Amino acid sequence: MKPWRLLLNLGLFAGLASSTITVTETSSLFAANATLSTQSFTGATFTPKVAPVVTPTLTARTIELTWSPVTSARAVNYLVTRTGPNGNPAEVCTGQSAPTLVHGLIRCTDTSALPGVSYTYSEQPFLNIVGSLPWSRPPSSPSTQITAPRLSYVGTGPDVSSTGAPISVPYPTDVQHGDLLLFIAICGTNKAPATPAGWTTLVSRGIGGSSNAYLYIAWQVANGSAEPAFDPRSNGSGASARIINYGKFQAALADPVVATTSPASGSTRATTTFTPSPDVVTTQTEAVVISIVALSSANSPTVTTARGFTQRISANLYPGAGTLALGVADALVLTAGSTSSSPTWSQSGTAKAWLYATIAFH
Amino acid sequence: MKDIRKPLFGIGGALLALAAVGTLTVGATLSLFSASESSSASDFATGTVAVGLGDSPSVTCNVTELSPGDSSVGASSGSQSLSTCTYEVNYTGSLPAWLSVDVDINSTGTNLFTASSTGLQFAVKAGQTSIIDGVNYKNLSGANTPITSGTTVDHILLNSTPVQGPNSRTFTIDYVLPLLASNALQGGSTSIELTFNAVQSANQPIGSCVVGRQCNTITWS
Repeated sequence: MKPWRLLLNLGLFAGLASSTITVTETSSLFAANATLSTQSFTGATFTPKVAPVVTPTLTARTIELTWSPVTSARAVNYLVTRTGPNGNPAEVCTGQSAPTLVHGLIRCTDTSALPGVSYTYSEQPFLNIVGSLPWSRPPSSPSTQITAPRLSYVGTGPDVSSTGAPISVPYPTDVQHGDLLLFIAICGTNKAPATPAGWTTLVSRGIGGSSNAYLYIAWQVANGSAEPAFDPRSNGSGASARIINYGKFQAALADPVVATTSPASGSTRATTTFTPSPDVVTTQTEAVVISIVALSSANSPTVTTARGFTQRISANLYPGAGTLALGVADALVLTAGSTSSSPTWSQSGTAKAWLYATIAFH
Repeated sequence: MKDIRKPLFGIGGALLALAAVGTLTVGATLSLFSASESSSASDFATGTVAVGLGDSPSVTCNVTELSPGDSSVGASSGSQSLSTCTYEVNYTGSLPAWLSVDVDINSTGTNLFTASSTGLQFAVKAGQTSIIDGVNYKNLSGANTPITSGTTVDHILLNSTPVQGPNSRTFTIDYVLPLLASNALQGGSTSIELTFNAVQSANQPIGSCVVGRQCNTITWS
């Protein structure tokens, strides 16, 4: 090869080599990107995170349950369970008794508890979404233990009075078939009133002298009969009567019966305080023991040492001639054969002799 | 004379030709024969590859208190009552480009996204192109592949022919928390983040990449 051709070829090769390097240096890619704002998603929660404890409260026929509400994105429902001695939880507060929000609290009613059985309650909040695996919180800690009485005080009818003519005595409101009804009459003289038709006399006690008075108690199982007539048979002397109601905890329970072989009754001298004696001995389980006192003066009989009794009535009565007073208290006695210690009563004003009765029902 | 001059003229021409090809290298060694001439100025401008938000407003979702059965209006099931998350993005570059999107699903703490049918489901679309369907994306071969939370799914291809700007794309994110979401997801959280990519298409053949699938045979940056 001639020298100039060699040089020419080298020059061209050098030029090509130079071009190759240049392309490599400029071959990085043009690119860009933009990161878009983050989208976030958070699952529902419950507030508070710990299910509130249930507070059970006894009423005459049911156990009312209350607890603080739990909130979430959706409506919160509650699974309420009752645990008895067998340790197996049973669902309560269903259907008509389902929990509802009332005055800032969730409330429901256990309508199937048995009297005389100790229970605890628990609730579990959950989201009731059809077709879902319900989101929930763990059940609340158990409530305090509660035992429903077989019979419990529901209320009293109005006091009616007469100075001679028979009058009818209204029933209390909320009487249901099978309830225990007590007819209590106090007369301002030592004379027994007539026994109302259909009622069974339980106590008929009077006292003469300065504390001249009469205490009459009859009972019946509520059966829908007409209001009884009260004939004081004591013209000129004021007499008062009323009917009090002890409701059966469950309608299906057997009708009430007297639960002591020896109701205690009598009278005692005028003293400011008084503890009825003897105490009654119950013959049935889940008995309600009722202590009744009467005075021939408006001296407001009051339980001062309860011994498990709850005072229901402390009434001063003004029957048109003279004044009278009535006191009623009761206590639950679970075990048959127990001796119930009577409460101590006191009266205000000038002391009058006590007329009293202590009875028990199952 | 002709015979003598011919070779001499030929050698001089070859040297001039070399000088013209390799100005710096050869010119420096032959300075005695150099010459220069200024030519008129030439302008060179590069093309651009650029992305940004489009003109339509975005709907950024911050969905709280999701319960089983809750879903966005564009979801295929559930309540269909919550807002769809949307973005409009714009390729504004002058160069023909490939477009893609990265998807990053993440969580701190309990994760609503379980990569299963009982966790949070997403339907991410770019127009009609499905990017994420439920818990899956499509890999290069088109196989449904579950997303792993915390690992970015990168470069789901958006176009099969190069585009030049302006070229806008609308991303939508629909979601549903299934009815069968377990109680353990209560209070859980999940985030999803998209990254919109563009890269020049010149010198980058699309190869086997398909729109709606992951495309990692293209160099994206």
